Amino acid sequence: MKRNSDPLQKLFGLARSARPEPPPAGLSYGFTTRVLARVNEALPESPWERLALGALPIGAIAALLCFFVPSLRPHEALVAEDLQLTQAFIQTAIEQ
Amino acid sequence: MTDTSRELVSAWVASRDQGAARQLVEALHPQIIRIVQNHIPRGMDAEDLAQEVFVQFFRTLERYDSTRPLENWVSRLALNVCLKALRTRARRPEWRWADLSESEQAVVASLFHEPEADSSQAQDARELLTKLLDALSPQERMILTLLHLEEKSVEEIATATGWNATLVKVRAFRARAKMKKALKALGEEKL
Repeated sequence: MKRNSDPLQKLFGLARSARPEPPPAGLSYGFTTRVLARVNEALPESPWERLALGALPIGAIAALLCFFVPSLRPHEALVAEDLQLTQAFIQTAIEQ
Repeated sequence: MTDTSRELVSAWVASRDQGAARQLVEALHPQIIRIVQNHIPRGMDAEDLAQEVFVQFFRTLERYDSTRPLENWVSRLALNVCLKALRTRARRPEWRWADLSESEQAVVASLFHEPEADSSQAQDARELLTKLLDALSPQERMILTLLHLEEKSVEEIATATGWNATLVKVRAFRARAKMKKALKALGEEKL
């Protein structure tokens, strides 16, 4: 065997021959469950979830607009239109 | 990458199949824990670090190129996580003779004064080496561990770490010079 006089190389050679720490026998109890819990917590939502969440505020705004926009029209115009609609329904009911 | 691994990876990427994820964890755990045990900073739990590797693995799996070996991807990921952990630890200043245990002191003495290494000192030599590696930068420590303890080639280290071969050689050279200087200082201090 070649004699190595370099102290550092001798140190590495000795360290290599040390008995390595035995690896754990299989996975520890619950390891996979803990890993997946961390993974699922760390990952962002799926594309569909992102789309749904993104659409939520848009839907809310649209609903609010539907509620408020009619109230922005002049009151007289609203009343006149409602009256016309009411008359139309009554007329239809009578004709039937 | 085997067909089974490829299917498991695809199942996870497509729909985050938990069953596929469990099988990947079981299949890759031996490789990851071996890497972590070889590079873990002292005082840190190997299982905690292994968990961190798996979290990074699943987070970045969408970017994995399935034409390349999965083992290489996993190795690089694990080494990067270990490197990050090493960086969080303050580098240990140089060890003095009085900092060493008696058995480590005996190792130093025999390295300089005995013609051949004494195999009964192997475990103490490993402890001493770990202490000296603590004084290096994380990258230097990792390269010397891969090169001289795991006996990887420069090309293998370049593939595993993503560093080019020249950088690996330069860092290894500098790291060995530092360790020789530290070891020599210990030997002279003993006298």
